[in-house]
Amino acid sequence: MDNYLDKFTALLAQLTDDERDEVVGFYREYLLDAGIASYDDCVAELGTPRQLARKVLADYSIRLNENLTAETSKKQRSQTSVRTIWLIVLALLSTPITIPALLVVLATLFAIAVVVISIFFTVIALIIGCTLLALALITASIGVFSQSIWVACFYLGCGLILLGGEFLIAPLIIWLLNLIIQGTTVLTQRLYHRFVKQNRAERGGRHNAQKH
Amino acid sequence: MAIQISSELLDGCVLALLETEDFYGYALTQRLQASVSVSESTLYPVLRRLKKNGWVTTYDQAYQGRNRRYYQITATGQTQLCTIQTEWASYYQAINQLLLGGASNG
Repeated sequence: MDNYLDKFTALLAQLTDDERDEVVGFYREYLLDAGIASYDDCVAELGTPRQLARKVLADYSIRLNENLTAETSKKQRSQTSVRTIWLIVLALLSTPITIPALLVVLATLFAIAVVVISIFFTVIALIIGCTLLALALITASIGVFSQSIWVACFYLGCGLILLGGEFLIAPLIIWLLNLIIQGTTVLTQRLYHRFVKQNRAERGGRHNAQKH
Repeated sequence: MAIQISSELLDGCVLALLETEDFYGYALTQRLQASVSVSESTLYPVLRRLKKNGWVTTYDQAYQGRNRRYYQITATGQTQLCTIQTEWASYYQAINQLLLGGASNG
């Protein structure tokens, strides 16, 4: 049973910790009450962990706009987000809204795109710059090694500190970039829903279909 | 039963059961399955939705060294149950007329 629930938990990586705990807690209690212990019996009762996870995630899909078929990593989530942005741009282009509104939407999207892209390039340039500087310092330290061992040590130390610092903040930067991409997706979706009101009926239909 | 129950009706059935007494997950599933065909994994999304809408609350009670989570209907849940009951009454009549009216006339 623990094996079953562990697999199930692993498939729910997209949910927040609280939500995941609640879902897994519910099924743990369920299996205990049902007196089901073996993995195979769990599958017979609730389906494979993947099937169960898919069912649970389908319930969250309206909010998450996620690919439900596989356990998505952060990177895949960013890719999904980027795809969502493109789909929305295409949808906006193909929607008969008035030209001024279209211009406003396109201008906003353009502004967002410029800001995001410039942030990306700034970060990349910073990373490359720091790395080059660190390598230059290390090279310099080797160069002056024969003349002054202490100066060499100083350069070497500075270079290593720079490199180490980069490794330290790397996860933070990746997290920030992910945040920016996801934020942009949300913003674009808001924009879309704001300007494309006539599709409300269609969205309502899809919403109902997903509830079953 | 071959006819699939809709999620609104399922909400109503769960609320109606919870109005009689508080249930924990497994017991509620068993009780529901005694009457309608729902799969074992259907109930959690239903309960989550009911809780999110504020129609039920939960509390934990110790049972054999672990916790059981009980579900309890709220005041707004009772209002919602009344709404569903009213809607069901009219829906039931309309379907009956369509489905069985033709046979009784002919």
